[in-house]
Amino acid sequence: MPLSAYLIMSAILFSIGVVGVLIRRSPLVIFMSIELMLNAVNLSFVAFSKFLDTADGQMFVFLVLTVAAAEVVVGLAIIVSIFRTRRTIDVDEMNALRG
Amino acid sequence: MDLATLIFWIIAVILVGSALMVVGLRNIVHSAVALILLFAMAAGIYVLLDAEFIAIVQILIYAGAVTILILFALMLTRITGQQSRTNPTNKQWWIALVICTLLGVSIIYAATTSPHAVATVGSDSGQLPAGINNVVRIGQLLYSPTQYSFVLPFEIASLVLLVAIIGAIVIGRED
Amino acid sequence: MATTLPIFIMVALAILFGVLVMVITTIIGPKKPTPEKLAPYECGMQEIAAPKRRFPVKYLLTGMLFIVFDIEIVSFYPLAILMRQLKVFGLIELLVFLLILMVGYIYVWRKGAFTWE
Repeated sequence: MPLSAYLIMSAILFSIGVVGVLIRRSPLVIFMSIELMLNAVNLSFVAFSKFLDTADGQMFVFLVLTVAAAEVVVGLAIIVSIFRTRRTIDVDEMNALRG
Repeated sequence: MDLATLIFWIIAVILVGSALMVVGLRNIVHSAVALILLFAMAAGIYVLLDAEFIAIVQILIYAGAVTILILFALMLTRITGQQSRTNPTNKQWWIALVICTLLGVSIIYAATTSPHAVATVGSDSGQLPAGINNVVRIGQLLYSPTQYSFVLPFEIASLVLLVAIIGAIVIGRED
Repeated sequence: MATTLPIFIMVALAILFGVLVMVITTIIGPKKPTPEKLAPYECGMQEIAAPKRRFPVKYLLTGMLFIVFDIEIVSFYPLAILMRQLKVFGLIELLVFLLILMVGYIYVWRKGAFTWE
């Protein structure tokens, strides 16, 4: 497979993730779409690492994984705590900074 | 068409299909299950690209832990009897679709027509010397004290994890 | 590719097995559903109303801490493989990493998130 096949697939996944972030109203689905976008980027990192024959890309994927895990932890904590105070998690209703 | 190409196409089709399911399905639980499929298929692509360590980590962290956590959060934020009352998308969905199609097309255009395309470098010829596998190469980049190493980013990653722990406790605990 | 081919064959066989078993049992298995059988819990007392109380957040908190320490352990794996080459430098790296995370660990412990009263 040429590199461009992996890159095109990665671009398609990333665009689908952007669509999810923009159109869905549930913050959890937005969250999953962000994970999708991160995975698309990781995919192109690993593809580049294979075709340039270095391990740099894989190492970056590893660091991205670390940051993504931190993001998941804090993000889900925020979503649950918003739900506890507002009893709803619709993003259209979260329009005030002061809870 | 050889076997690697066939596997790539199978995985790519499932990958894009499950991504569409994550974004498009009305029931959020179904989205989360499609997300597990997506992570597993991405791990398949990593194996195809000779990145076994990343594939294992992907299964362990993403497919194993992150989706379970998302399902937990789903359980905690569900109001019984209020599900599926409204439509799951907002009003400007068609503008978003147009923008994202433009975005995807431009990324694909850039990736395929770039003068820096590296499609022919390395490809399948890169046979590693015996005993040097993936994990060792990642480890040498991340940990060894040569000039071109990422020791400091690795230590800072622990700082990020520390922030995550403290953030989870401060924000997530109910008192 | 040649070394990873067995993984794909294994995964394909596993998926095939799972799908086959489910398809075969739905085709040839006898189906005599009664309301008793269709209930989520077949034995025990009859359910009166849907449970009011939500699951406590403790589950989520435990999962979050699990992910963080999972990442920590995974990042030690390449370090462990390289430990013989890196010698003291690797040990120092490991200790610095652990020291920073230990701050969080002690914080969590002092806050009592590890206890499950």
